Amino acid sequence: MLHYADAVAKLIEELAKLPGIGSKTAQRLAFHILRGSKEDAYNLAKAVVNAKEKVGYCSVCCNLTDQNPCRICSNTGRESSLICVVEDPRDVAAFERTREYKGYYHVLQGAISPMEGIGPDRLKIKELLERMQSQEVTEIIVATNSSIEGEATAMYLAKLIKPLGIKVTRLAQGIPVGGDIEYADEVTLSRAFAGRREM
Amino acid sequence: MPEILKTNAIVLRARSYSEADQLLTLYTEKAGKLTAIVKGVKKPKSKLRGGVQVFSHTNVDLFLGKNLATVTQAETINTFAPLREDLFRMGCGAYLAELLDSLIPEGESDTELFSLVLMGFYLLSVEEPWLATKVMEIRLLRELGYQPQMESCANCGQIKVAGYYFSSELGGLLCDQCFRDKPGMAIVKISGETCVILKQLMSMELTKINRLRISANAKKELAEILDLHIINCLGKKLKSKEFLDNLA
Repeated sequence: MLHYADAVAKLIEELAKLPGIGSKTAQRLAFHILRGSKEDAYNLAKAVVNAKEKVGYCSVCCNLTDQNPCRICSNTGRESSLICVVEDPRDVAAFERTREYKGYYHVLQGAISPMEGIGPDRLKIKELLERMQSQEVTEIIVATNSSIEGEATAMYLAKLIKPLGIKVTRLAQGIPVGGDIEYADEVTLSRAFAGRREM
Repeated sequence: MPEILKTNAIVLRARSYSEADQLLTLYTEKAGKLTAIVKGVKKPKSKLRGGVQVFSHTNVDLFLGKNLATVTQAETINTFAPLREDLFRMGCGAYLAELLDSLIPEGESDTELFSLVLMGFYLLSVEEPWLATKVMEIRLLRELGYQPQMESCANCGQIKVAGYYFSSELGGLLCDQCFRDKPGMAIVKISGETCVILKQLMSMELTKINRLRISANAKKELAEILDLHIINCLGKKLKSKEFLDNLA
């Protein structure tokens, strides 16, 4: 970045730290910001700082939130006996988009990964167990990804929670909407078969 | 000239890469261990996803680029489903995959080793996972030239080995004299049974391992010397090993 003014070079350097952004894209973004109005630049900077300062983990569900407890946890109209366990805050957003689910969530902030050395102690599992003691829960819905890590997490949770006498369920797996059976893999197909429903 | 390679492969590892891609570590029959990118695999419409799941034995078409191979087609042969249904089995699978990834150098094909690896995942999915893991550790070490010396003293070469003193640093059993000459070295004393089991695991037919009867003490000793030996060979403790130890 020798050919740019120091301030511009710094901006490019910081932008290039973001995932998926290389130095060319960073330069393009930097020049876009410089060309735009002062107000736009301030708004962007303020949004970044604001988000970083105000957002933290919800003390109940461990989701990212700017108020504690988060909007979902402080909503008393939901079914308090259901907790849906997910890996990531983005998964909560995905479930909320369906408008199907009316219970609460718990965000683990990751998944067990033996090969990366991520054990259960690195996830928000302790918080989940504490929550189950303070709140009357009848069912834990394990909605982790269908990857090796997600499956490992699901099995670990089931092993932990089932002995407490609480029902543990796993999301159904099968053919995606609009999907071709021909292209479905064997595992998906056999699970779709096992989980078939009467019409 | 870029070329297309059709080969059988086992998926050892998958890491997220950019928006919807994954970088796979494949152990292929024809080209040995290699890293391949599989594009768009996280999108719901991906046709490749089923064929590139971790631990699965699959038939892939690879486009060999300058530095990275790209998966253009994948068809599963065996998914070793039990590895996904039991936490301990899965942990053992992850351990075997990580062990292979650390032991096997990139780009060296070896059909015999490939069959052994395939057999290993098969054993893990049908046999008792602890024993299957141990037998695979021993066989892999042997196949790759890290086999512990069991027939004669690893230090002086004397054929007659009196006690059962195992030193991972020297790579095998020691005779009485050498044991006494090496104070301060990490040496594990093992029982005669452990020694016999170790030799049996090295040579017996893999499909018959379920016939072995091993006492709790021999199991403990076997685990101890193999762990020591592997850490010594690799120079580090594997992450999934730690996970397995915590699980047990």
